[in-house]
Amino acid sequence: MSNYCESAGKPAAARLFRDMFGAGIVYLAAVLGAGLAIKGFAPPQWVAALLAVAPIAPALLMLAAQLRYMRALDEFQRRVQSEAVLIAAAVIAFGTLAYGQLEDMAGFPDLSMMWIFPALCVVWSIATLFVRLRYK
Amino acid sequence: MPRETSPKIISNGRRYMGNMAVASVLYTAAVFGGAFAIRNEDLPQWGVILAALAPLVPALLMLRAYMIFLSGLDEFQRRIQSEAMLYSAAIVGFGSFAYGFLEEWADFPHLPLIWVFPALIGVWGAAACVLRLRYK
Repeated sequence: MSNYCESAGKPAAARLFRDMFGAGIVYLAAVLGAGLAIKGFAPPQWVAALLAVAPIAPALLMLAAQLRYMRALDEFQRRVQSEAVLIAAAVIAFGTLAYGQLEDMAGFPDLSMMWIFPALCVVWSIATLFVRLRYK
Repeated sequence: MPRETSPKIISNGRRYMGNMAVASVLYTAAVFGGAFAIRNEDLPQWGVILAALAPLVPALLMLRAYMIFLSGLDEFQRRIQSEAMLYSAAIVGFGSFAYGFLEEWADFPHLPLIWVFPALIGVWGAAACVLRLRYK
């Protein structure tokens, strides 16, 4: 069974890796390019806003790659993934609530919204490992 | 018999409403009590941290109420719930990411992290409504 799962997941995982790698390079280029353009040329606010959201396009490519990967998975692996996302959403929801309270009431330093998404991805990966171990 | 009117589902929903109502009252009390204590008492830093984190306890009670509710649902409704949460995590994840860039580079005002939790819940509720309509 596990051999079957692995053989079904392997080409999909290779494709995910390739797509993510491509999107990652575009993402880095967008972040560095937009950052340099904003700092170097001091464009008007609406151009700065457009440049600032430019890295979202490659991030959406990453989402598309992940969705394609999830569609290629079997029922069991898909369940592991969606359970892991739910755990990640719960952890981030309560973590941000706790930190938001500390920011608001206990004078903790302000954290940018930018960190939510990377935190969500990291907790999701860790949760995937745990969920997979539990089902083994 | 249509799903919505099954007595088991109705009693599950009622128990959920009851548990949520109790947790919400406790949450409101914890938020007001914590804020009042921090503003009016000369608390040491650890006391301020504890008072700021106090609302997490009733928030976790809400999570517990939801887990009990989820375990009382049938397979179809559970699927709607988890799909809605996935949409919510994706929308809030990307939304906060985009806003984070706007904050950093386009001088948009800082939004405290405390808004991530209500945003997740709000989008999740809206997504659950849309999904339910789509499956009908």
